[in-house]
Amino acid sequence: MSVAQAGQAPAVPYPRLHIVAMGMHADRRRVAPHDRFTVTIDVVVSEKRDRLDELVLGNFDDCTIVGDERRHTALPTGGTQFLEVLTLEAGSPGTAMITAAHLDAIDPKVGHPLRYSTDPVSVQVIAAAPIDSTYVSWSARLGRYARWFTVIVGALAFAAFGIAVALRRRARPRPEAPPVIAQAPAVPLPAPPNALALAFDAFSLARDERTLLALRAQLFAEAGVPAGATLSDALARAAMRRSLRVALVEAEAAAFGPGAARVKAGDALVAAVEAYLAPGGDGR
Amino acid sequence: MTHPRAVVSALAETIVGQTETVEALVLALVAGGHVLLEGAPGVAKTLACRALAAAIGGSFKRIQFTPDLLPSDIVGTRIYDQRSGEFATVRGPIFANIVLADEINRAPAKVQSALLEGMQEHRATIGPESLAFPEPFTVLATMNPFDGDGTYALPFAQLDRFLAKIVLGHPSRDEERAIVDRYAAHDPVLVSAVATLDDVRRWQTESRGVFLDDKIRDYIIDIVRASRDTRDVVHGASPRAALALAALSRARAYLEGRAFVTPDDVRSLAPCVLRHRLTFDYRVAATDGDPEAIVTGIVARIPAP
Repeated sequence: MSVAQAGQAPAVPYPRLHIVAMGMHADRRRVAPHDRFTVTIDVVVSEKRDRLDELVLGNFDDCTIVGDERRHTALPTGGTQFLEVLTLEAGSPGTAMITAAHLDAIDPKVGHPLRYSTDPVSVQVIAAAPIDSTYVSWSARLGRYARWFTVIVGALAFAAFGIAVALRRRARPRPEAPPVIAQAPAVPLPAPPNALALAFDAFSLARDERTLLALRAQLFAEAGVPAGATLSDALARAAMRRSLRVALVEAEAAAFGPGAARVKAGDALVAAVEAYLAPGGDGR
Repeated sequence: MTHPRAVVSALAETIVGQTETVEALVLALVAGGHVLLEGAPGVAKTLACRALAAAIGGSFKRIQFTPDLLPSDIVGTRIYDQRSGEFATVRGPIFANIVLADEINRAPAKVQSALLEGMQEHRATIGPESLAFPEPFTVLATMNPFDGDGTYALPFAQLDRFLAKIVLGHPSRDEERAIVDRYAAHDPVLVSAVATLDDVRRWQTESRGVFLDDKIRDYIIDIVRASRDTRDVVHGASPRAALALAALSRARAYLEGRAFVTPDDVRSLAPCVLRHRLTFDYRVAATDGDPEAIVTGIVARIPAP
């Protein structure tokens, strides 16, 4: 979710909403032309509402909307989760692009209108394997023969080069390989920002043990420590990233604290991860 | 209301370095357990125990274990009073809040048993009387890793009764310089009491209420069970080790002002709970293996939740 200043004043006043989470995801990354796929836009607000008419969809390139279903659920924390499930039909081979959906609202904490946007979603539309037609023009056939010829000649040249290299190596005495002193320790790569954002969205939508532990694991990965490490390991690696450190500490309280304190820690965790992922935060 | 952190700070004023030891002593006090201290002579084992007793305003007794020590020298005895014509009970040095059992492995098994029975029951029987020890009651027993001649190894079952074993190393160069600067001219001055015995009893009650999540409980059990399934270990830790690790982890969380235990609490304390409870294969000694590395390896093998 990204946040920016809202545009010019609207005819209808902006609603006062605290947007907790906002995301857009496709159920498939690749589809065939004219295949159907779904894109889900999820928005979590702190307020109790039954409609979210302010949500503005983006543009749809190389795909058309064939279905639009809206749902909302009251969350135990007092907020509301809105889901808009779009069924889309892919167009011709290329990239089906769904640009960012957005929502203009006045954040009660800030007091002025802000624009909350999702990330855009793209789906590759890949043509099915070509089927041989009975009619192929001579020029097309020649072109195909020429490509085959190039491939075969290239493969033969590569094989000949390989054989020549192997013969040279056999002829020469092989120098002894230097002894292996130590294997470099495997350093876990930081998780892509999307993985954390997805885990965060999942936790925002349904706060349960599973989504909490998944989010905590992503925060650990973000700090650069593997699963099975402890908070002190993660904090040691995240020394310079204050908002990540705050999120890690809150995740610990939410995961291992007593029941009554978990809800509060969960709220603090959401705020901390939001701050981390916000533009200008340590996570961006 | 005083916090146990005040005791840690007070001890740090007297003892140079040994930060982990000082904290572990306070943790054991809060958890209501007994501690085995192992270290070379002169690394402030006795001073740490004295300072701990002084910081909580408790009574302190030191028993130097020797091969000719008798159980009555520890527990006490009944003496005939000629004037009254009756037997009077004389309580032994075990009746104190902090008892330092110096070189516990120098006394024979019957004396060790008398002490360890008292550690378990928190009371002793002298003649017809069963007398309770003052609370809090903590035994700090020391063992010298050198001078093995003429010692009696503590049986496995008795070692299990110690909540933790702390190994004291030599101070760093800077710490040693500070020791010389501070104590070359005069003896260490014990701190005045920063807490009361009532405070300690309250800490013990409150630390038992620190929340332990099921995931942490399972982590503790996994570590203890892993000690029984390790190649170089003949006898792994008992279920009492799991209880000890849970109690110490709660005490650490309490010391740090948390209402819940974290995996860090467990991981940092597991070695001192396990190291005296494991019996290692003869090959470890034969090949100059490092038991401490095996213990650390067991803890590292179990992923934290």
